[in-house]
Amino acid sequence: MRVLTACLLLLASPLTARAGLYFEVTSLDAKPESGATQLSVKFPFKNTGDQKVTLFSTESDCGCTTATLDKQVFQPGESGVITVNFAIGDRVGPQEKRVRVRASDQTEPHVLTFKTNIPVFARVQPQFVYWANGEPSTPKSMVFELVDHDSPIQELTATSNNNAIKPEVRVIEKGRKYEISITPGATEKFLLATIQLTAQLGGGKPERRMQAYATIKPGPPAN
Amino acid sequence: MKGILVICLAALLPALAQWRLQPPTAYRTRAGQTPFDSAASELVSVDTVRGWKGSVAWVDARTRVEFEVGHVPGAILLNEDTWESLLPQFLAQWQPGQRVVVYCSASCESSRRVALRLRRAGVEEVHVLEGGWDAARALSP
Repeated sequence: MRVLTACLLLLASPLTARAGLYFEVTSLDAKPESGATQLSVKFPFKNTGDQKVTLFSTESDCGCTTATLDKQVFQPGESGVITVNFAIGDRVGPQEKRVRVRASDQTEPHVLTFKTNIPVFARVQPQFVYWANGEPSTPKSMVFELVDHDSPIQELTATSNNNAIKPEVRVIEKGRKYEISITPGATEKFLLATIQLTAQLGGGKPERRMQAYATIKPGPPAN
Repeated sequence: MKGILVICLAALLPALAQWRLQPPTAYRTRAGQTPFDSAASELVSVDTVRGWKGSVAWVDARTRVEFEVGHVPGAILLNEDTWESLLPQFLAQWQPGQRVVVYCSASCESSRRVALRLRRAGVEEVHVLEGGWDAARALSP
């Protein structure tokens, strides 16, 4: 009888042992709008326990990700939302960011994850070319390749902000792939030129711009 | 003895059931492999860097605010936030053949992402500092 009573008490105890925040989802995929500079995702939650829960702090993997709370104390049964804001900046490609929420319901933080993919219009590789000390001033090339195939290129132009660097565009695959050949005037003095690449698109779409660089590095090699 | 075993089992079953139905959120998502996880050869320790001959170009991949609070002497700020406006400064200071070591906060991925972008941009030898700024702090005066 005593054993039975003990078992019944033990079976009942877990039902009230946990008071805590319940997040419907802790990992979200989000898609930014074209041209967006910021992405916001929301993580709704509910206090499913029988004690109030206080949200102490949030911390993220990097300064680009912040989390906002509309309030800090949630009574039993109360719902809330944590909004995670991600500053896109010059980021491209797949991104995965985590926010850790410290609350009074458990010692370990709640971990919220969101994933997104910042679309890339095109790639320029390499993004810069250089001539080192004593190197002949022969032309060097970079390749501009379209990634977003929904926006084929009608024309690609390249201009330099320094007259000593001359870029020329050659078509590898019309509308998609181009070679930019760069010829320096001389390689005795330090120089850093910005190559402005402008892609004219069809269908009334606005032109797209990207930057590449050419630099002359006189002086002894590093190693 | 049998009674004790029965009690223990009785305690274990609901605990397992609760764990299964509603595990703590800290354990629902674990940091898994990302496309930017470093290969073993990319990571370097402060001691390894100290042993290198030749100069090192330090790249700080954190925010400007964090950079201005403190950084490795001579480090160049280059982060994903403002990559396009900061890259020229890196190119002006970097020398061909110079090893590049990128760091950020210990728990962030920015250093790996910046390292990948530098390699794609054309920089040959790029490493990521193991331990990030916490480890790099030892190099500050």
